[in-house]
Amino acid sequence: MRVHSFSAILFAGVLSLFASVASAQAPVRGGTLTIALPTEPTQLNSAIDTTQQVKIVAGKIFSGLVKYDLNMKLQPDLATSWAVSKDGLKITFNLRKGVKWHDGKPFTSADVAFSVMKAFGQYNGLVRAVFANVERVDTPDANTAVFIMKQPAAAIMNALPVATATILPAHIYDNTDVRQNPANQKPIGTGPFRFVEWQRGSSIVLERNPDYFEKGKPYLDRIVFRVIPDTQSRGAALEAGEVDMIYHSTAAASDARRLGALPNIELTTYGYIFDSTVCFVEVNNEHPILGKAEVRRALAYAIDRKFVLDNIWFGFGTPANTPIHNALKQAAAGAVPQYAYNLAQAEKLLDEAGYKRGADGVRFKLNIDFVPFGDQYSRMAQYVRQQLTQIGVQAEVRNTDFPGWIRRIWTTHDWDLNMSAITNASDPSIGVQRAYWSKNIVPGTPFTNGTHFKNAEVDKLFEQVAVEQNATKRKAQFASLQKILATELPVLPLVSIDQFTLVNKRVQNHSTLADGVYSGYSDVWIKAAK
Amino acid sequence: MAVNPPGRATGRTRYILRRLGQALAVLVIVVVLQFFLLHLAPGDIADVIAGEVQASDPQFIAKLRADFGLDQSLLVQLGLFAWHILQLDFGNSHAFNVPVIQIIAERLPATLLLMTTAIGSAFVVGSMLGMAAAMKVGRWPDVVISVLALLFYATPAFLAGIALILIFSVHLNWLPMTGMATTWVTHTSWSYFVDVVKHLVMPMTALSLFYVAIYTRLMRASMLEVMNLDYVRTARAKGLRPLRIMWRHMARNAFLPVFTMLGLQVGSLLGGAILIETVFGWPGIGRLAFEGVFRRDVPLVMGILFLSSVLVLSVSLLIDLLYTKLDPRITMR
Repeated sequence: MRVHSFSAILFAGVLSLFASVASAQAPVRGGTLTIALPTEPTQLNSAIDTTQQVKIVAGKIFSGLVKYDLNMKLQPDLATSWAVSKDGLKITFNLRKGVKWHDGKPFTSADVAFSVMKAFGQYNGLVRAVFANVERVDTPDANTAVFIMKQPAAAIMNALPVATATILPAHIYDNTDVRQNPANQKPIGTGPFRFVEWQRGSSIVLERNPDYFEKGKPYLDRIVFRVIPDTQSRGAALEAGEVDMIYHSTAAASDARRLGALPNIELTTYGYIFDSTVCFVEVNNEHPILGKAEVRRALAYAIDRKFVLDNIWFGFGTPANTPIHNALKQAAAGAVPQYAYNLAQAEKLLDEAGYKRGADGVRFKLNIDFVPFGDQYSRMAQYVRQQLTQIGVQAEVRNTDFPGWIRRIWTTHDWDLNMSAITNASDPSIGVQRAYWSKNIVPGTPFTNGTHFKNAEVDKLFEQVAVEQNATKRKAQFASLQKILATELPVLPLVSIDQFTLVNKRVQNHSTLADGVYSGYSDVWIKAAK
Repeated sequence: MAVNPPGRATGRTRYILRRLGQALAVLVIVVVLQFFLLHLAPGDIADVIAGEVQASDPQFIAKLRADFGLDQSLLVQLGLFAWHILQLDFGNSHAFNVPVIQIIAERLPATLLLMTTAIGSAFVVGSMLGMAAAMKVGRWPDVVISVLALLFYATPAFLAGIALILIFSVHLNWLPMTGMATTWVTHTSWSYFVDVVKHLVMPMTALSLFYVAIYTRLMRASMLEVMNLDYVRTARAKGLRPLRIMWRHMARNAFLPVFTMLGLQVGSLLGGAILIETVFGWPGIGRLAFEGVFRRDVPLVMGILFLSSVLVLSVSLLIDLLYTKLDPRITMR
């Protein structure tokens, strides 16, 4: 099970999870599960759009080839078994027989080949690079799909669950523009729930798929997604019993503990391994002063990560030493340099670097930007500004909206420090490499290497882990990689964030897979009121 | 536009034609200004889409820009937009990938319902309170009403909304708090009506409080002004009953400024609706516009602004026309 250093308060939530597992009642059929959507999706095809609000709906309608449980063990989904050749150049999937699309047409290996080569392999911004390693998909018969690789891709199995590699119906999508296809608004999948209707601006309704391939499942009659854009209203809706679930930390973090302590509400951080996110201070590595590693190390000493975790993230996470989330066990960090909070040390390092305080007590001036989502990042910006002032660095916090922020960081590159976070996705080769690999400095493209960090050793290691088939060797490579990143500090890691779900206790089995709320929910059931 | 033969055009039709001409000019200015304002904001929809999915793929983004026509010059984009608008074609929303007109048609009724009921109830309640306060000026009902009005005036609508939710949904569990209807159950037309009314009560109240305050104060002041005019004294001297004086003689004249305000406020009401729609998850057009701006969905935002401008301009024309009915002394020139 995913190991956490849970804070004491969270402990209660964990206990209640174990309690619900231990009680192990027989699932009951029926009932409606209601989930609050903070943002309305624009369409429902997760093969081409991996935003949270698309994934959580599409994950119930579609299926992937495989699933991962909470121990990161592979489980069958559309594929019942799979085999990777020793050199990693051939992956064979045996597909489930007798599966039908929601429109009654049979599911075959042609759907798999189409989805890999023409859907998520083309248009999925997150995993497209991984599937670019697939040269072709052979379909010797209707129930066998064989990936023929140009070169091995270590992260490919991790990219296969429904949330990122959604298998689409070829008979609907082939020879059409996948992104314009009307089925994106009325999806047809193989998953446990069928699409019923979408009332734009208010709700999306799914109902049980009676022909679902896991016999007797799903248990729920219906899932209703309700669009509630206001954070306070979402919390109130959960409290009033109007919705059963708020996912992906979209209640106010300051309010989450109170809600989680209510007798009928459970708070859990399970089910987000595949969306592991680390927040950090990004540093413009081309800045004349910040370009020096000793200056970046000085700034790291000036920031109390425990303070950030406790007061800005309300304890949801662990202090981070590297940009790789500690939940990704395949890439666990070894011993890395530590920067324990120490203002005197920070000042000493800056003096040594030649940036002494001027007559007015100021060493140099900086701008601080932040990603405009939630209120955590603006608070981080305020906090860092305050800390920097204490060591003689004058900083100004700038406020922009999301498109403006993207332009500033990745296109005009007119910034110094930036409060941000990126998802590590299910593997650092997918989610982390992009931000530090020097060949990925692509002006104009968000979430590429925006710090313009260049390090030949880091480049080489990222290229090695991307193809390494031996898990032990790969782990060692990740360890050396993180040692360099923690020494050079292209970003100052702050917190490995634990995303949380708030859910009514009547809902059972909701966080049993690695992609948690984004999975199909065929096992979820609702306990009748006592 | 067709113009009547000069000789036959009455003052009223000439007036209407002139107003329509002005409205058209305003519309053109609005469209051009909005277009450039939207493009002044840094970033475009390709940035947003790539950012939302954390896509790190330059080809993916170039493909998006080409699909949306964002690789063309601004003037070409404006020209294309204007050309399509002339044919009443608002194009496809970039974010939703369906025709703008379809999205607006789905979301506009909710906003119209919220706006008309909010402004309607504010008008009725506000004028009543204003009249009552004026009749009892300086005494306790006036004090209570004035304090209430001040409170309503000073309370931000979203705060009032959250307070209503906490009281009536979370604690009392009387009213549903989000959405416009319970869409996943089958309704008879009567149960649907009841359901919508239940959903409407809180957002309508939250949105109208501010306007109740304004109409109360305006009506009170306006009644007090009229109260001491000669014709009211004459009516009193004739021995008419006080209620009749209030309704027929005072209120009718006191309504004029309130009415003017009503016309002016339709625009600001649209703005206020954004917050209320967000707090109550009301599936309206204000929220849609707001999200559209943040997604840099230019066709959608332009479509909404265009139709809202048409709406505001028509309401203000309508109010001016109604003016003559209310006060026959006012003529149109």
